[in-house]
Amino acid sequence: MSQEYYELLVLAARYVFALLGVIVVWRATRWLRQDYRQRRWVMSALPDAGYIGTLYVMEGQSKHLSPDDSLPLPTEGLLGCGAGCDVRVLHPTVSRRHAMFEFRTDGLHLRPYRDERLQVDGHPLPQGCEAILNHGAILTLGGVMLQLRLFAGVQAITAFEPEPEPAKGERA
Amino acid sequence: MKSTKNESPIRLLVSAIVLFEAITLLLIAIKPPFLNTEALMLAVALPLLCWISTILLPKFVPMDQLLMALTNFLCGVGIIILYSIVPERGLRQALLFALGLGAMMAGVLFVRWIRNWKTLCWLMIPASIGLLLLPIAVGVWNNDVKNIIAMRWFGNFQPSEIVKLMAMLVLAHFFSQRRGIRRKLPALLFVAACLGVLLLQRDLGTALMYYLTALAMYFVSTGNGLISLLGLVGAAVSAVVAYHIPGFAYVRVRVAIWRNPWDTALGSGYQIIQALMAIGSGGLWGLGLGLGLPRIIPAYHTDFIFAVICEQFGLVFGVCVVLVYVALLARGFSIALRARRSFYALLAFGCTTLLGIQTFVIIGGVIKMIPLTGITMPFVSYGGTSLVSCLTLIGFLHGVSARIEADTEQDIAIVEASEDTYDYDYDYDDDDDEYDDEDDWEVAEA
Amino acid sequence: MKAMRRNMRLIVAIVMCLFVGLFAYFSYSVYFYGGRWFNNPYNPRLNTQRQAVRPGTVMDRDGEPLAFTDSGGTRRYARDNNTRRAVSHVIGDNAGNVNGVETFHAQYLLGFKTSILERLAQVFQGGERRGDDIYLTLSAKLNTYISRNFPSGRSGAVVILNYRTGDIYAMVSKPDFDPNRIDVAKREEGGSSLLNRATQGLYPPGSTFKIVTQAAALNNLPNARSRPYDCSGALEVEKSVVTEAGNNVHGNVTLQEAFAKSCNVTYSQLALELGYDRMNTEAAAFGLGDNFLFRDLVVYNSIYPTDKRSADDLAWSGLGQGRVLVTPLHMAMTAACIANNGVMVEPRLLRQVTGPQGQRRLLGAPRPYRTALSPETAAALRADMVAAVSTGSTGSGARIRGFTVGGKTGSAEAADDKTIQPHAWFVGFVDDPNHPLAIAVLVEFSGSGGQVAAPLARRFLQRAIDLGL
Repeated sequence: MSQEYYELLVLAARYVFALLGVIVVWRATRWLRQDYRQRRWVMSALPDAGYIGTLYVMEGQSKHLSPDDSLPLPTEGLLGCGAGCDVRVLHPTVSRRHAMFEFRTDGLHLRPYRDERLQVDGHPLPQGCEAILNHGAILTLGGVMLQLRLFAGVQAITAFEPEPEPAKGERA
Repeated sequence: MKSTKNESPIRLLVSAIVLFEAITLLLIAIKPPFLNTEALMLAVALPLLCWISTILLPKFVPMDQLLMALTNFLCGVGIIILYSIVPERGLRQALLFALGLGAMMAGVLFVRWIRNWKTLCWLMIPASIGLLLLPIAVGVWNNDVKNIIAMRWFGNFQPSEIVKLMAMLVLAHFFSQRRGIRRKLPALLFVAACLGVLLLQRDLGTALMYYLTALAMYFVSTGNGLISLLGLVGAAVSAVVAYHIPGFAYVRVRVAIWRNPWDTALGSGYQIIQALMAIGSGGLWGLGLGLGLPRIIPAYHTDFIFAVICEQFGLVFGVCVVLVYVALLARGFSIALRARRSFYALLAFGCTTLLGIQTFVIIGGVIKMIPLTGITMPFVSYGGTSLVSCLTLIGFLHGVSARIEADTEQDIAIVEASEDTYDYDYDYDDDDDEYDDEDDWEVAEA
Repeated sequence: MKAMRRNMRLIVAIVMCLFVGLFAYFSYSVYFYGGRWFNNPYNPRLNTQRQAVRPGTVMDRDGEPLAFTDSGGTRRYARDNNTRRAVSHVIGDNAGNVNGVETFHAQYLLGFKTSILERLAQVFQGGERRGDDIYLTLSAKLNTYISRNFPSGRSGAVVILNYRTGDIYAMVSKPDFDPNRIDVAKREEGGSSLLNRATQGLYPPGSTFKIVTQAAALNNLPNARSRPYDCSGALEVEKSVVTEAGNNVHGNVTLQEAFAKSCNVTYSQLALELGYDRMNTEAAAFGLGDNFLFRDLVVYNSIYPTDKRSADDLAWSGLGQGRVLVTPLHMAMTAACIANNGVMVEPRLLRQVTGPQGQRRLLGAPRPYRTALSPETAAALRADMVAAVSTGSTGSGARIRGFTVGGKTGSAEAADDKTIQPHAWFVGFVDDPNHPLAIAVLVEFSGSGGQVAAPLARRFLQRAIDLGL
């Protein structure tokens, strides 16, 4: 093939490449959009998706909170009345960020945010300590009493290995 | 129940990529005067690799299809451009790409299965510092930057790329849901040490990248806007200071040629001017693959490969390449936002931000939006360690995505299990629902 | 986790904004500067292309060839010596010494604009590859005439353009050079003859800048037209004294008379009254301070500096002295704007570009660059400029029988040394729809604008009219 014809071929191919590039971008955006929509569908079809259980309000009355309420509990997050919290306990005695929790194989690890007061099963939690809660444990934040209820089947989830914390852990 | 895996057809996307790779390599192969069998081989091997990794592999190993396809596209563009200019480089890049896919696999499994990050992270810190210090001892100067170790049979090896991976894991681990500066201190000191070593090597671009990513990860994990802003301001101040310190003459040179390269058109401004001319020469559709004069652009195979893309393939294609990067980032960020645990979220976020900042800085430098920094374009630039480490970063993203998929499947299993339990034990007496629920919980507790 | 996600979304938004900025900057810089990056003497691709393609011919508006490649592959210029020198700056050269049409429009001349279908046709027909032919808006005859009648031994520039369409009919820069002997020109006087003074020479406009001051006064001071002005022959500012040329005292004058007589005292007073900001706004309306990115040619930017303010600087700036700098082409555009009802049209150099098989390339239509004045103000200024030529003492040298000519002379001091003569300026227009001409004449260091530049303008405009432009 002579040089000239090859050059013509290359010049014609330019448009093909541009077209292919545009196709790649277009399909990628379409994939992202469809993925987003599917994710939303999954989340709405499984309202409990992402949550490992609930915190059942046993005591504690306020404008937005009353006994028998169930607060959904995700795998990891913040507990408090502030807007950035994963579990919002809307009660005046609860701090904006009251506690941090993380679910692991051996239960729900809970520790106060700064120097907030917590009670587990009636016993006050010493400062700097972390509590490990299992299903049915009672947690008291200020004037609110919550009971941990894990979904059946959550117990089978494997997660991190338990980390030895500098402070003592209290089994509930 | 509808499966949670995104089954939307990726086929057209992959077909477009496969077609692109095949046509370009065929074109290179039939270039007169003689048939290039090596290119012909590549024309078969590369699309095959693409198809295997995007369609076949996800059936066995949990991988995110879009990420795979887009990285294939970008790496393919790099291989093709390099091959058309210097075949040896293109071939080497292709081999390293295959190697990188293996590293990506390892990255996926690493992230998916490792549980105990703590000891691993404490091990990685001294290893990283050691690796970073290595070039100072035995390394070679590369432009003004001393960050490469030349190994005889291996080629050039850049330790800072490996450290990049370890730094991501270390930062993600130490920043995840830990309250208090005290817990984060090891990570912060580690970052400071890395930055210090990088500054010693005068690799300012990489230092900037690491710093901004670490800052972003810090902000995300603590939400402390004030300190993050102070960090940004601190970076800006130190940049201004560096501009005036005598030891950093090349910073002044870089800023000068950013402002007006035409003054030193044959001297220090030569690089950026040639790059701009290349971009201008391409026009909308490019000069054509193999036509044009890519070789006259200095560092065409590393820093300025984007200019070569614009020259040969045109602006439309160049913009598409940038949009592919953006799509990659979008996917990485969406993975980060969906993760359940803070470690995975931070890992995915850090990897994506790092890639994003790197891409922005290099493309911004090539089009003269910001001064040049010496960073290369991820996936496309020539460079073995860089390619492998970027692919491993993507592997981390795959891993996090795989974890999310596993978690979502568990959710479905839980819901179905609850329903099953419910149905199995209590399939009559609907009025006793409340009571039966309580019984159910007590059974589980026991 | 929720807090973490929210923070992540913020960073994601920032990163996406960064990329949007990237796209915006990319599009902007490639759209405006892409051509300049490409059509650049430092671009080796042009040379490579030159070896494969026979460059096209550059002709004037009547088809007279000004640059062509002969069968041996050498680039040749106009046969007639005078013509060759007259258009030397506009044509430029291939080696990057002068940025003219040869370099700036290399993408046409070297065939970069041939489409793939044309290439196909050319390959099948077996001809040689050729670039596009360019027809300039220039009139070679007019340029030659101007070049021959410019005062010998003097430097300067002349620009004549069409104020409706922006077509440049003549652009002559003196001293000129012979493109066939460009090495000689490079050595002489440090290559000063290679500079295109019409587009790249920055000079103080002198009294021609009073057009801008007048416009500023009419726009901002409500009774500027009606109130009387008293010229005592001298105006004391803080550190300097503004005097008249030839130590004249004009006495009581109207605004139009002050304009026609080019009264320095009046205009420095007006400038002081208007202040930097209003003067700057008016100057900006006329395009000073703009980054000229014209499609057809490179023009250096004019400036009206507003840093380092002082009363003296302000007063002198109203007279076009001080630190104000303009190019002759820009002054021609200014005169054109006033003749064209306040609309400044973009200057054009390309009349037509045809491909090797005769197909016409798409060039942009003539388009307005700026609207500097309202039609009323433009009409007022037009009347003032016509008065300056018909009745005034300064511009009378530019009168042409049978035509209404408007203009403004200027004598721009360019050195503190009083023995060095000022630059002689004349900017003006012919108010006739059949001959919509605007002109700027600049003769360096030659004396009074009225005595040196205005008569030249008359001859050049007369010649242009005779040629039917």
